[in-house]
Amino acid sequence: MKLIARVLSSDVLSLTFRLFVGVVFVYASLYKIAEPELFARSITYYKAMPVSLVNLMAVIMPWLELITGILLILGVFSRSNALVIAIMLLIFIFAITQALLRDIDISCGCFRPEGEERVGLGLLGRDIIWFFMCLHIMRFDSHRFSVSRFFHPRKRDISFH
Amino acid sequence: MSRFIDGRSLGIAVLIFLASSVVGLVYNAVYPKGIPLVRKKVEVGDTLVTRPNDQQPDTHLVSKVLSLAEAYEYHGSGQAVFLDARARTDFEDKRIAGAVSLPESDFDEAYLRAAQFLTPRTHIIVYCQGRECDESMIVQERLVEMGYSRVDVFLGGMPEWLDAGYPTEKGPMAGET
Repeated sequence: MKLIARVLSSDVLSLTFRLFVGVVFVYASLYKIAEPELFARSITYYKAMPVSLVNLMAVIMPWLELITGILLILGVFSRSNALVIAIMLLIFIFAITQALLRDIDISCGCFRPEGEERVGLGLLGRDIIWFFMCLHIMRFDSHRFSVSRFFHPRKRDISFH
Repeated sequence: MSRFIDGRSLGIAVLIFLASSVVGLVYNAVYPKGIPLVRKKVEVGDTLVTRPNDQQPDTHLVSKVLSLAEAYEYHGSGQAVFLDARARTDFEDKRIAGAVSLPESDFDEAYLRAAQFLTPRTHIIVYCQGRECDESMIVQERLVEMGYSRVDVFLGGMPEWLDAGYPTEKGPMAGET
């Protein structure tokens, strides 16, 4: 049991989650930054927010995904970035859940505009798993694997953590 | 605050959000594909897609949002195929006369049946259950992506058509049982 607890609370596992979630969010941001109109349309299909606010979300969210994803990979302000991503995942989880409850059959809009996974329980489960990965990063990530250590090798505080 | 986040990390998270917002807004302002910050609802007369016309150089095929009058005119001319993007049950209950079923919720399978009525150059008009539904817009986008060159949307859809008393029909599509 102790071994399991140690593995679950290890910063190596947290590093794995950090790199995984970071890469996923950087990748997810790319088409949205390149095609803001297509991303905005895919948001409207969820019918989860006023149409007038959709474009603002479509303009800001991809950059939030890109910047937090890159910083998470680098290990700079990991807890803060994991928090921002966790909040975005909560928004996605809400949007998917209400779409499922209202029987709205649409494609995800997560990684590309067309021909991808439909909104369903699989997608919901995936986002919930990623949300818990973010919680793990917030709880167990250490400064040990941060890029900032190269610049401040003697500082063991949490200045970039 | 808790074992998950402290006040300092929370403050940095807010700063990251604000910085990302500024970057996004600046990028959107200079990016050629940037979008208006306030989204406007789709209205009759809006242009959805403009594509070069392969058969007539220097001209374009425009996919638009149609009014009831325009939809009725095209219906009367017989030069356009009407696609019903609603669920199959709604289609069989009542539809625009001559329409073909292509429900957004069952697009891939339904397309196999609908494709026999379409060519890449067919003038297609998609409709659904009025101004609050999105199915016609989704089907329109998918057809444009598949290479159909002129795919309009009749925004008022079935409710406006019924209110006007224009021709409808019900039951399975022609050739189906």
